[in-house]
Amino acid sequence: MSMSAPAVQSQPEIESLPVSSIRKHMKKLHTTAEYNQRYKRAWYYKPHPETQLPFHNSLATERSIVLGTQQGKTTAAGFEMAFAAMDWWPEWHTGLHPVPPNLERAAKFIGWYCGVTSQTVRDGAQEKLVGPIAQKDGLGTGALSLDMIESVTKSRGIDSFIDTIIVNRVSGGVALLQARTFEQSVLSYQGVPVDLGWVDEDLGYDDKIYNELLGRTIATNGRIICSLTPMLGLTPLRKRYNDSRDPSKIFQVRGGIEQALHIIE
Amino acid sequence: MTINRLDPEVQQINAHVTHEVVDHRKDSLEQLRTLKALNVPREKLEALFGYSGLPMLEKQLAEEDKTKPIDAEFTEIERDVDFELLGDV
Repeated sequence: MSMSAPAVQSQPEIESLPVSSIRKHMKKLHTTAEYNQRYKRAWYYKPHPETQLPFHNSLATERSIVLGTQQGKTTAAGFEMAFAAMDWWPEWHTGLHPVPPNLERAAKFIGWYCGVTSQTVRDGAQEKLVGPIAQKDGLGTGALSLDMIESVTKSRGIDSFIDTIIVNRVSGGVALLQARTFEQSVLSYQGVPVDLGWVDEDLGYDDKIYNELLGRTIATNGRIICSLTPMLGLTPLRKRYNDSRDPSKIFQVRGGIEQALHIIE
Repeated sequence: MTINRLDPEVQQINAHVTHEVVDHRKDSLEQLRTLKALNVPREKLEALFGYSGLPMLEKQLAEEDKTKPIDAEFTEIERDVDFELLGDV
C-alpha cells in the first residue's frame, strides 16, 4: 500500500504596492493642476443628468443602473463606491450619505465590489476605482483619489488583480474595499457586515449571491448598487428591479445612448 | 599600508538636502483665489478644478476667508481716566 503525501495548499502570494512612495514622487513630478487632473478624478466627475445623476441621488437602499455597453454605468457605480469609501460627497450629491454603525470589525466602512470573474473585476470595477495599475503611474487615476488610498494588496494568482484596497476616510478611520467574484461560492460572501455591495453585471439565474449580499447589509443598514447591461434576459435580479413597486426602496434607472453625453454623435 | 596608517586619507562629502512639502490642496485654494480675483469665467474654473471639485474648493475658500483676520487701520483713542474714582489701584 503506497502512502501518498498530503496535498499542501499554498497560500496565494500577496504583495503590497508602496503607495506612499508613489504618492510622494507623483506630487514632486506634477504641477498642482496636473496632479489634480490625474490623481483626483472625483473632482472632475460630472454625472449624466438623466441616468447617472438620479442613480446617485436616489434614497433607495437597492439601486440599479441599467445601460448599454460603454454608456457609463460602471463609471457611475464606481464613483458611488468611491464617494462612500472616502466619505467625500460632492455638492450635487443629495443621495444617501449614511454613517456606518459602530460595529466590532476591521474597518469603519466595508465595501465589496463583485463581478463575473477575476479578470472582469480587474478590468472593470477595479480599474474604475484605482485606475489601470498595470500601467506606469496608473495607480490613483480612478475614482479613488491617490491621496486617499492608504494601501492596495495584490493577489498574485492573476496579474494586477487587487484583493483589498484600504482607503482613508475624510471623517476619520479607514474603509476596506474587497473584490469578490460570481465564480466564488456563495459561502465566500458570508460572515462580514457590509456597508455597500456593488454588483457589476448581471448575476444570472442564480440569486443566492444577491440574497447573501442583502444579508450582509442588515447589521449596517447598508446598501446595494448594481450596474448592468441587460444581456441575460429576465434574470431574478432584473425581475426584482423591474417589478419594484416602491422606488424609494428598490430603484432602477434605465437609459440609452441618447443619455450618454460622453458618446459623440 | 604603512603610509595609509601614518597619513590616512580623509573623505569629505558635502550634501545639500532640500525638503519641500507639497500641499496641492493649499496650492489649489491659492490658485482659485487668484483666478477669482482675475474674474476668470466659471467654465474655465470648472475645467481647471472639476465639476465636483470646484464647489468644494469654493466652500473651503469661503470658510478660510471667514476665519482670516481682517487688515484694518486703527487709531488709539486717548481716554481721560479719573484716577480718583479708581481708588488705590
